[in-house]
This record gives sequence, C-alpha cells and structure tokens, in this order.
Amino acid sequence: MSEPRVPEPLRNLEPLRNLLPDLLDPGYARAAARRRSVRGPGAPAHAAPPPDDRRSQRVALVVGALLVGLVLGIAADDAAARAPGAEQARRGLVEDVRDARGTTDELSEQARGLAAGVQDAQREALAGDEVGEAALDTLRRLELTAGTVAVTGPGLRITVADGGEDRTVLDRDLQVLVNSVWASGAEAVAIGGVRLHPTATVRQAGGAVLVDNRPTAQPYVIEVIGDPAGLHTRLVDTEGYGRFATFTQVYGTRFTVETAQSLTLPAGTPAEPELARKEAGR
Amino acid sequence: MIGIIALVVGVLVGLWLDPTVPEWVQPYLPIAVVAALDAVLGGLRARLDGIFDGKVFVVSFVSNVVIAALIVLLGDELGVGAQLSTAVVVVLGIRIFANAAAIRRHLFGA
Amino acid sequence: MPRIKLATVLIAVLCLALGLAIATQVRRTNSGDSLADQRPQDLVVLLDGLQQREAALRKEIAEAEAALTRLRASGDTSAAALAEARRRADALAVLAGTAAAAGPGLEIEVTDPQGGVAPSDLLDAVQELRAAGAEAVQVGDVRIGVDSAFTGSTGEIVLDGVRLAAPLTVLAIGDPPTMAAALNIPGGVVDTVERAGGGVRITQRDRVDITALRTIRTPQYARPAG
Repeated sequence: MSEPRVPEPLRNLEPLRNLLPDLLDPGYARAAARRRSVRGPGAPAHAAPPPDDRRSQRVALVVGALLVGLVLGIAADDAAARAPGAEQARRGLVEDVRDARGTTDELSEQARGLAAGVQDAQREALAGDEVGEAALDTLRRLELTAGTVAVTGPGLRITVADGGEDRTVLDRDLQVLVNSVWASGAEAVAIGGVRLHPTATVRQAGGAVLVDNRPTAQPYVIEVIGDPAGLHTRLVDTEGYGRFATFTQVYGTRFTVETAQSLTLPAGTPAEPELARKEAGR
Repeated sequence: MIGIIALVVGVLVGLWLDPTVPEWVQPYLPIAVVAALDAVLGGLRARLDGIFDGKVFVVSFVSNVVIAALIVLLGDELGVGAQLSTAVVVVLGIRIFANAAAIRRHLFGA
Repeated sequence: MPRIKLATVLIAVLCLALGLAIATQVRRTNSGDSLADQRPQDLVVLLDGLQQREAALRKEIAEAEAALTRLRASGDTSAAALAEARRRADALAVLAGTAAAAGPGLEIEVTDPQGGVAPSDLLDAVQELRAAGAEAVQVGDVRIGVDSAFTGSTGEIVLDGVRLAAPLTVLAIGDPPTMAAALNIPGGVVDTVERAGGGVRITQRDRVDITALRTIRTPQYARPAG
C-alpha cells in the first residue's frame, strides 16, 4: 500500500510531485525485486524468506541498528558534554539577570515597607518616655550619619556619559570622582538614584555600573547635597574633576556640573554588620 | 522487535561510553546524526511497505554517512564546507520528512 | 455539516495561535532591553551583584520582621523597643564609624620606601575591601566612613585631612579569605603597590580591633526628607 490516495484537487499538483522523487532508498525496492525474482513471480511479496537469508538479515539489522544507535548516542552525549553554544548560555544568563532584577525589585519594596513599619512601631513604643526618646534621638542621628534616611537639600548635579562608541568611563573613574566630591565637602551622595552608604560599592559590569549592587546605566547622574558654591569651587581643584576634564577633551566624554536648588536623595540600605561587633571604647 | 532493542542498546552504549569527540570530528556529527535519522525512518517505512532488507539498511546508513562526510570534506577544502554541510542536512532532512509522511499515511491513513 | 464546522474551528484556532506566536517573537526580537546586548562576562557581574543585593535584602527583611515581632510581642513593649533601638543604633554606629568594633578580618601592612603609592591606590584598596564585604575599615589612625576621602599626592597621601605616614597599617573586619583574595587579584591592590616599589603584607586574623572613631559632623545642608 505504498500508493497514497491523492484527493481530487491535489491531482493538479502532479507535476510538482514529480519533482520530488519517491524518497525511499532505492536499495529497498531493488532488494525486494530481487527476492521476488528468486522466489518466483507467483509467491507473495511478504512470504518469509529462507532461514539462512533471514539470519543474515537479522544480523545486518542488529548491526545497523547498533551503529545508528551509537551515532545518536555519541552525538547526544557530546552535545550534552560540550558547553552549550555561547548564544544559549548567554540567553540563559539574560533570563537569570531579568529574574534576579525582578526579585530584587520585589524584595526592595518589601524591605522598604517593613522598615517603615519598624520605625512606626518603634516611635509608638518609645515616645513619651525620657529614656526612649533619648534612644530614638541617638538612633536618628546615627541614621543621618550612616545615610540610612532620605535627605533633601541644595547641592550639585554631575552628569557623566561616554561621548563616542567606546566605553571609557570606568568604575575606577567614578570612584575617583566620588572621592573628590566627598573631599569637596559633600554631605550626601547618590549615583543614579542610589544612595551611597558606608558599605556601598561602585563596580563595573560592561556598559553599566553597579552602584550598591544595583545596575545603573549611562548617563551617570551623581547627586550631591552640600553648599553648592563651596562644593563647586573646591571640586574644580580635585583630581576627579581634572581627570574628567581631560576625558572631555580627549574622548569627548560628557561631563557637566550644575547647581541644584533642591535634591532629594533616597535612604541608603546597608546590610547590618554580621562579623563586626560593637566594642565598648577605651 | 530486535531492531528497536538494538537501536536503544546502541544509544545507551553511546551515552555510557561518554567518548571525548575530537575537534576534527565535530563538524561531521550533525550530518552523521541526520543520516542516522534518515536510515531509521527509511527502514521503518520500508518495513511498513513490506520491503525491508537488513543489508540495505546497514549499507545505506554507512554509505550515506561516508558520502556525506566526503562531500563536506571536499567542501571544506574548497572553502564551502559549511554550505555543503547545510545542503547535506537539508536534503537528508527532506528525505526524513518524506519518509515520515509515508509512515504517517501507513499508520493513520491520513 | 458538523465535521466542516470542527475543521474550520481548528483551522481558525491554529491560525490565531500562529499569529500570536509571530507577534510575540517579533516583539521579543525587537525589545530594546539593553541586557540582550551585554557580553556574557558583564552579565555574570550583573548577576553576581544582583544576587548579592538579593541576599542583603533578604537579610534585611528577616531582620525587620524579627524586629517587628519583638516590638509587637505582647508584654513589655517599650523594653523590647528600647532594646531594638539600641541594637540598631549599635549596628549603625559600627557602619558609620562612631563606635569601636571587633571581629575577624585582615591586618594589612603597607610599606612605601620609594614614595610611589598614590592616593588612588589606597582608595582602590578600600573599594576592593568593601566589595569583598568589609564591614569596618581603618587606615592608619583614621576610621573609614561613607564620606572618607583620599587627597594629597603620590607618596604624600592625606586621608580626611590627616597625613598618612608609611609604613601604614590597614585594618578591616570581614571575611578574611574573601578580602585577602580581592586584594591579591592580578592587577589589583597588591600588584599596584608592589609595582610602585612598595610592599603589602596581609595577615588574616580571628580578631581585629578597630578603635579609631569618626567624628560626627552635623550636616549643614542635608535635612531628613519627609
């Protein structure tokens, strides 16, 4: 039953079908024809072949199937053993990064809500009590120093971006610039909306920079709260400023410093120390 | 039947052996795989057509792999190795689909 | 009659599915997420950073939840609140540098006989230590805080207005092996200092005492927001 039933409309496509030969290996047809001629024209095509022939058939089948299986098995094993194509691995990474971002965003929201809850509960419990108020006061001053509370005030807004195609602004450059900013008398600094706190880092990741482990893309906006005029005057003399001024000339890097009347920087979120314990001072 | 068993055994042995495939064999693996699939489907269709022959099965598989490899090797020397490899895969792939369709007609009459 | 209807429905469903698949694929290919353009090594750094942040956030959430439980537990709420406030104050004081701290960490001796070490090299060292999880750092007699700044010039380094004299001892509290590894990476702090003719000796300790304190400056321009 090798002749398929061709429906009426498709018979018009006969010429097309003739382009594709019947694609079964012609060896089978020839072998079948040979067997038929050996057995005689009267015998049915499916009659069992003689025993010797059947045994060698079996052997050939087993050998063939083993070979085919070996090839498939080895190829599968090799494909699994080799590192997946660079593209596949990369795509996997992209997925992971996206997922991680989603997770951290969610957790960040959660953390913020909880922190607010703790603060409220604290205030409720301690307010109206002298000792409690004193403790709250100390806590608030420390929060301000450690950068764990949102602050607002005048200052500078510094924008940094690569001029051309090449990535020239590195984490090291940003660190030097931020160092110069602190040296100029800054009271609070944020990069890309991420507040700098005592354990915050600025690390490179290709075209983006991780500020406190949060990916920040160009242009990098550094917000600084402090005395705008004083900051600017002192900043101009610093190594960081000089470096970026050079970058502007040599690489065409974008580097602007403008005064801002009112900046609001979010609270920093340092992890509480695990290994370091407060010791009573001498 | 015994063919399927031998096939499965072959696959398991291949996986278990875990051979380190040398670099120069790498480009020929895809065509070997496609030739293997073609041989399997061709054999199945021949079986359903009633004209299966074990010797033809082995010979056709081995010769397909060898000829395809030679074509690709020649292509590599001429600088068109990747294209010829694609061509081999495409042609064998068409055969696979055609045989699969024939098998489908046998099994489902559709 | 019903047969035709079924086939038509099936075809319609399949066409719809195909259309949706095409639209989705086109949108995915065109999506302007810059992530798709990043190199694998950059993605790894991004992922590492995000995972660190995730861990930190989870810890923070756990701490906040524990604090809330403590605060809301029935009984003497104000005592619990007081203890919580003091605990948090202690943690912040260690971070901000207003309290002495102790813990496992590194004792790093930096020598600079040729005066070739630059302020940016020490800045680098502090950044590397932080990235490796340092919780408190002291350079010479100066405690490092969020607003610490290295100024001066090569061979004459000034930190927060204090002239640093070589040989210099840097103390850092954190996981000793991680911090040591960060300093020793090729092209890192140890390499840079040694190339400048100086020397770095790192000792891992079970206990490092950081006693230098930062003086708190009340901010003149920054006010708590809201």
